[in-house]
Amino acid sequence: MNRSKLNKLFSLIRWEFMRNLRFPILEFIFVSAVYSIVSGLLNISSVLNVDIKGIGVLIYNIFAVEFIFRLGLCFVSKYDLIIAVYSLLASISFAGEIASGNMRLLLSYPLKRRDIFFIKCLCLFFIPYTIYLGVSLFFLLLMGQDIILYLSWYKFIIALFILFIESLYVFSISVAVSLLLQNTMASFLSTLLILYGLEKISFVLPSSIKIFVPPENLRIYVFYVLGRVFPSQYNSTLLFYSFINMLVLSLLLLFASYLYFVRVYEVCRRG
Amino acid sequence: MQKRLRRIGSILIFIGLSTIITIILENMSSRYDSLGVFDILPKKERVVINYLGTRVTRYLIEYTPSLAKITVRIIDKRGLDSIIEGSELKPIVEFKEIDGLDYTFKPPKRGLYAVIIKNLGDIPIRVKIRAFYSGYDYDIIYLGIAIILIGFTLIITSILYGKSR
Repeated sequence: MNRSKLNKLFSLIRWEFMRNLRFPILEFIFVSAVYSIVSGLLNISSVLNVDIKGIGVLIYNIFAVEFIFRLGLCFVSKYDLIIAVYSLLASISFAGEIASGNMRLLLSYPLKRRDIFFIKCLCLFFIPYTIYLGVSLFFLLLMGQDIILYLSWYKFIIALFILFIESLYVFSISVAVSLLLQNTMASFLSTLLILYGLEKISFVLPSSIKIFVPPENLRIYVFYVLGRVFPSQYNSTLLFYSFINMLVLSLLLLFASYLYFVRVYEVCRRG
Repeated sequence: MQKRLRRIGSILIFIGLSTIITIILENMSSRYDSLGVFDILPKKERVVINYLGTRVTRYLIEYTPSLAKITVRIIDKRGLDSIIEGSELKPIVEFKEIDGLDYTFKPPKRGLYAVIIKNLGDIPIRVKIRAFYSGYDYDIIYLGIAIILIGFTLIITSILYGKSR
């Protein structure tokens, strides 16, 4: 890749940052991350009841596991905020720029559509994800001072992976809806309705189907991987498949959005 | 430079405010935890460990039959470490030969705390221990205030920087 192309890509990244991180969008992402994580970590309710002779370093490990479990659970239970963050970003960056004509200007630059799509997606996806990661680490270190040495970083990475899958799923739907509707408000509201609707429907579904619907499958997964007890009514193999299905569905939606943006989307509509 | 400082300042103010508001919303109502019901054999000790924030905590300990006396000690992480290391135990507070406990205290810092209950009698007892939490987690509120102050400092610095140029 030559130097001038790299410069163009960097200026595109800078453009994306300036457009999408303006007041109050970045503040909203920070507020949602702080609220999700602090409220989750405040309610550590693990109790250990042991004989005095049974006290050992293991007790610290038990509380360290509880901390990571709570963190994973707050990523999943504050799913609504993640929906709001990603649908807002995707509708501003894709639908908003198409509606305002900025996309036309962007596509007139000597950059391939493929590069524009990838950079937009990378910036939009990783900005909230990195903020959530930073805020989680900050509050985990602050609130778990006593057990910080005993934290399982391997489980912390699993919690982050669950957040990654959840964010990717929400993000892929948000991008697809934004490209389809090409109107900021309409795409924002539609994404919210679709994802909230799916979430609410999952509450009334039988457990055999519920296992395939986010964020219920992620909640079960948090209990399974980070928690202590695996709910007996669920099958662990099915849970694994539901996890893979979610990943594949997200990637397929992103690929379809990519194909639409690169091959189908017309800047000047004829008619 | 001036714009960046102002932007970082505004982000910090929002982070601080959201931290404080989260604490206020989460701590608005008092919480209750059952720390368990268990048996203690004569002359034996049992430890109940839980994680406490800096909210006011009220421990309520009841037991049956009430013929025997108990000794209760409350320790923090340092106390737990001394049990593990086998060194001398220095409790935060100790109640000797009592027949039940209703004790309210404010943990000085966030972390692990334990209640050690010793059965002094000659018969086994069944103990029920509960904890009630009220008030606010002031350590996190102070952190929020500190973040807001840093944010304001950055904004003021950016204004002064702009005037000096």
